[in-house]
Amino acid sequence: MDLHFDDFVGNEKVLESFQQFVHQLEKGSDKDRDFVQLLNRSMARQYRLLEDADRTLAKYAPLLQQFIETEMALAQGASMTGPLKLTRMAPVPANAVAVSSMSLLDFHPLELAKQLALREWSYFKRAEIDEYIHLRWTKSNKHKSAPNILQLIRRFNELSYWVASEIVSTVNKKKRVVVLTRFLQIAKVPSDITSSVTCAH
Amino acid sequence: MLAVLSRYEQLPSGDGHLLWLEYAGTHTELHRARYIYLYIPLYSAAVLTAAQAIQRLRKTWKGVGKEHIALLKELDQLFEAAENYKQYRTRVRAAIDDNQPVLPFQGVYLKSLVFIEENGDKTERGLLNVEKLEMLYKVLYEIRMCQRYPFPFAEVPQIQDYLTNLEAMSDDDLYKNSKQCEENTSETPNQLRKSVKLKKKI
Repeated sequence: MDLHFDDFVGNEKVLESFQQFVHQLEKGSDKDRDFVQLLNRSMARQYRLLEDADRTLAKYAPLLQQFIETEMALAQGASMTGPLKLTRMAPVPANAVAVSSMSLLDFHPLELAKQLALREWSYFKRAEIDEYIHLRWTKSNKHKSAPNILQLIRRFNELSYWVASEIVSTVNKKKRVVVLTRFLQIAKVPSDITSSVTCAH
Repeated sequence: MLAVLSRYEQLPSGDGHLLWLEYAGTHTELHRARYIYLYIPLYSAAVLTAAQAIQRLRKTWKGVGKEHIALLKELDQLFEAAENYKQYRTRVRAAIDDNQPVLPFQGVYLKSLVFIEENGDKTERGLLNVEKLEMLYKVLYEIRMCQRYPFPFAEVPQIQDYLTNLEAMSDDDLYKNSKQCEENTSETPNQLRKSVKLKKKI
């Protein structure tokens, strides 16, 4: 009963014959009635477990749904429009977790690295080539002639200050180590692009 | 029809994030690549800067695993300024040649542009300084090449929001907090202040 509970739930025919079997047992000897009690207890326990599982599922459903939708969007985008379109999609699920409650450790390092790449690339893309010539970002009218380079510089400083802030503001020592390690995990760099590529083939 | 067969997998050696994107057809050169390196030297440089700034948090560093310390050393070597960031440049060029999306660390470009500008526009004999223009072209070309391909990932709004509004402290707050982190050390305040100040890299 414990092992094959899944076969009973949601299958009325099996349940029916099971109940008939139980009724027959109840008419039988003492030993049989003991067995019926055992079965009933086991049944009740399994139902409790099932309810627990339902509750857990309900808790994680939004996250799961979001994950699936992101994956679907990626798959569909790839099939129709190629990489250019892919960067702007992923629908927002109705009951998504509030942003303010999220912190660095809530995200998988690889996912964070991907999102970071997207975000920073969107800044980098805006920089025009003529902003780079004649040292325009150092001149007095830099805010006019090289705004995007300045933005990139600001953003870089923001990033490094953010990393330091996150680490330093973590009061618990053990957690601080975790935060620091997490930042390093995200920074993991392919050690030798050319040789790894040959390995991949 | 193009279809993503498998999403990502790490190299057996664990060297970096190598994302596998398998396509049953081709669109662009990027598509022809079956794999994508998640290569973001920009972020690495930022982490390196921050790591140098918090070097004095000895107790925290003690808890960090060996492989991550090794990674940090590797990053440190990568951004070594010797020979005009030769190591770093080679790496970025390899990624460009491989048609991979790259997010370069712009500081290196700005630095070399400053060096190039130090040369005059004209040679001693009054002719156009072609050498300078060539050097200029090389740098600008590399920036353009890096801007070719976006990363083909789907945005996750929550993380994007998080990354847009990063919380960063001021120098003073950083100093105060870091002092709290390592209350029992015997370093002099002067040393502390010196090491916690962030060097602006660009």
